[in-house]
Amino acid sequence: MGNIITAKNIVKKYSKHVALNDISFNVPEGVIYGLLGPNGAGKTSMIRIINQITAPDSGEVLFKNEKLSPRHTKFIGYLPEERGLYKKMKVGEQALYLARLKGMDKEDAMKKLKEWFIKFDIAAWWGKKVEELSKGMQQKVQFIVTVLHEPSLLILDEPFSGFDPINVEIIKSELLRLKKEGVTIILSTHNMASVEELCNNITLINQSKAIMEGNVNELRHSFKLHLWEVKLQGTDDSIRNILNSKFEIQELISENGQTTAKIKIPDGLGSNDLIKALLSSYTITGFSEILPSMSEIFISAVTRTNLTKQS
Amino acid sequence: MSKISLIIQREYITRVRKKSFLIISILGPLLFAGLIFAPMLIAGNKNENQRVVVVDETKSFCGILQNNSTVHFDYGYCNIDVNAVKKIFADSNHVSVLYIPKEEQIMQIQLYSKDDPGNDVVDAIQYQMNNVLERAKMKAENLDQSMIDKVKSDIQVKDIVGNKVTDTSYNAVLGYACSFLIYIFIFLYSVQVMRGVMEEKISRIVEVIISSVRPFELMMGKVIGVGLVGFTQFLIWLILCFGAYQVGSAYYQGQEINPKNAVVEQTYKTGIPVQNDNMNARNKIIKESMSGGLDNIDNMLRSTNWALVIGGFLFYFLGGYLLYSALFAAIGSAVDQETETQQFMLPVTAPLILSIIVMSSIITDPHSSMAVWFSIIPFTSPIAMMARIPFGIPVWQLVLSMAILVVSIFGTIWLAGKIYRVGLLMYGKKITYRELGKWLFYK
Repeated sequence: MGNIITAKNIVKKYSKHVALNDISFNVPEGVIYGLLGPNGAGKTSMIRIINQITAPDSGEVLFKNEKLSPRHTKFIGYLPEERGLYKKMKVGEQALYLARLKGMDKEDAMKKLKEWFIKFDIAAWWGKKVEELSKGMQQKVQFIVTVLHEPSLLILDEPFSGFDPINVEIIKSELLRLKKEGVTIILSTHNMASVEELCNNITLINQSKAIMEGNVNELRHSFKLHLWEVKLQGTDDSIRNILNSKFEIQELISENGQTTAKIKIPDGLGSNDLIKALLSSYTITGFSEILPSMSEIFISAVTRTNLTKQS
Repeated sequence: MSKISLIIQREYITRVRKKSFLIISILGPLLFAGLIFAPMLIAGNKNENQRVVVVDETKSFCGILQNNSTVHFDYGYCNIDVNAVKKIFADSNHVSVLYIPKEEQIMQIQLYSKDDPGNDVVDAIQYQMNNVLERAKMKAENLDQSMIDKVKSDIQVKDIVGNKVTDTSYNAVLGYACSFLIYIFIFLYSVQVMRGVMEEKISRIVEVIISSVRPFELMMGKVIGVGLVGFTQFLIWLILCFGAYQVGSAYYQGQEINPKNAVVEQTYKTGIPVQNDNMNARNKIIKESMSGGLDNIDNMLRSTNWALVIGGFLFYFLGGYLLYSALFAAIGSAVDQETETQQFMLPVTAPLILSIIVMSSIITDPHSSMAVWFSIIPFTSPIAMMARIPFGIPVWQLVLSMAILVVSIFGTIWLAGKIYRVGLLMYGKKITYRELGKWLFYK
């Protein structure tokens, strides 16, 4: 499958401040794509450009290999970071209005809205004013109007901020279901756990530049520190003596008749060498590689670029 | 349905459905009527006539001065000493003592009261006494009534502009009324546009909307939608006023005209005191005065170039609104708190207020160079030109004013659109004019 979004050399400046500095990335169709970065890195600027809310100063964005234009808005659903509704307007009426602005016809929008309202258990609130709704319910309404017109690209800016844990779970499962149906999802988030859980690919933006792009699994492998977790039967400190010469034991915990060790394998040796060294003296009950979390990768990448910039 | 018409529809329906719209629609004309008629009612509504006790040492006024709606003369104390009479009424409200000294001191007539009887009473007394004296003097010179009637003249200058009879004060009222309506309309509804923009920005719904429509469409949808609300309101007012006028005139036609009051009014207007008690003569005068007045208004209505006045009104009504509402939309987008609007509102509303301030001098001299300039500068022209139109103005001035206004509308909307689309997504920043200037160049 091809790319749904191709961003080429995007530059965006606000008077003296550069928000995006020559950013390029591709979002393949059918994936959940994470746009990561610290606050003020330029994620929202990038998202607004894809939504055609603002235009880049230079560079271009392609939607399925066509130059992005207003006729694409109906294929895109957008949930901004700062989101709201007309407080004095009735819930159903408002949802219908927003759906029709996306180009849906009245009957179709009405039918689908009713289905979603029942699914999210807010059907009774159809005729109420938005200001009478709890925040959680408003968030459900916002999510519904984002996905109602069945966009092929869904863009969510910090979707999990401000949502209560129950809604976060509902939305996560909806996102996974939509992905299964072939919808591409771009989400910008700080929540690294959800990145590991949901995202296939990411781009990391820091200080207006894309500093890392790729598949989440591949990235975690490429950043691996060759750390392994070993579980052994019995509580025995002799492991230090046996491994000390060749391997580095970073952590050792003996409890409940079991020893757990975090061991770094140096260059030139493999995991089998470690197993061989242990096999004669111990009963191995567990053996697994420790991959760096996205959070660790994020922090190390950001600090590294910040340091190089400072020096 | 196109997106902009969806926006117009929403703006229109949500506003027209509000209770406040209904209330203003009904109360608006009442409020206007109140503003116009309250002073008249207050002036005309006297609880009691002033009782004027006459003490007359000349003996020539006793029983001669006639009662009217303001003054009731009491001749019971004509020959009593003035100091005694003053003592009697020293504590009475609504009573004055009119002291007319002997012939040789006739210029020292005095009116004693506990509280100020007001100008009307003093005027009525002076007027009647002068009349009596004048007639006495004429008689002394052997002039009789028929000769007096013969020499009396009643010149009325007809004001003819081009080949039409016109009435300056009538034109002034028409001009003032139209301009004032435009002023109210611009203010009322431009501010509504601003509030609408702020509502969208502050509630943060705007980002969702402008991911579906262009900011310019959203702005124009709002401007047009609110404008239509204004038109609807105006139409309702017009229908209500027309209906009230119909009902009112039907009601008055059914009522007997009170002849007494009408005669007194007539006496004042023509300067001919009515001495005849004959009912028929009175009615004749009433009829003449009434029909004369109606004819006059009728003539004026017919002399007005209604096509020009109505056309001009609609044009400047719409033009002024478009010009200002776009600016107000830009202000609404630039701020995120109501209080911050003040600094930007002032320069925008200044020309509007200025044109209302200078309106009275424009109406006094509609062809002065100030009047011409104000009616050509686009920010004041909707009000200033409308005030001048009923007087008749050179075609070139009208065309120039309209052309400049149209060009300015496009310019302002373009400018406002640039500020609007940047401002909508700007939060938590103190906005300066320099900042606004930079926004014009954002891509």
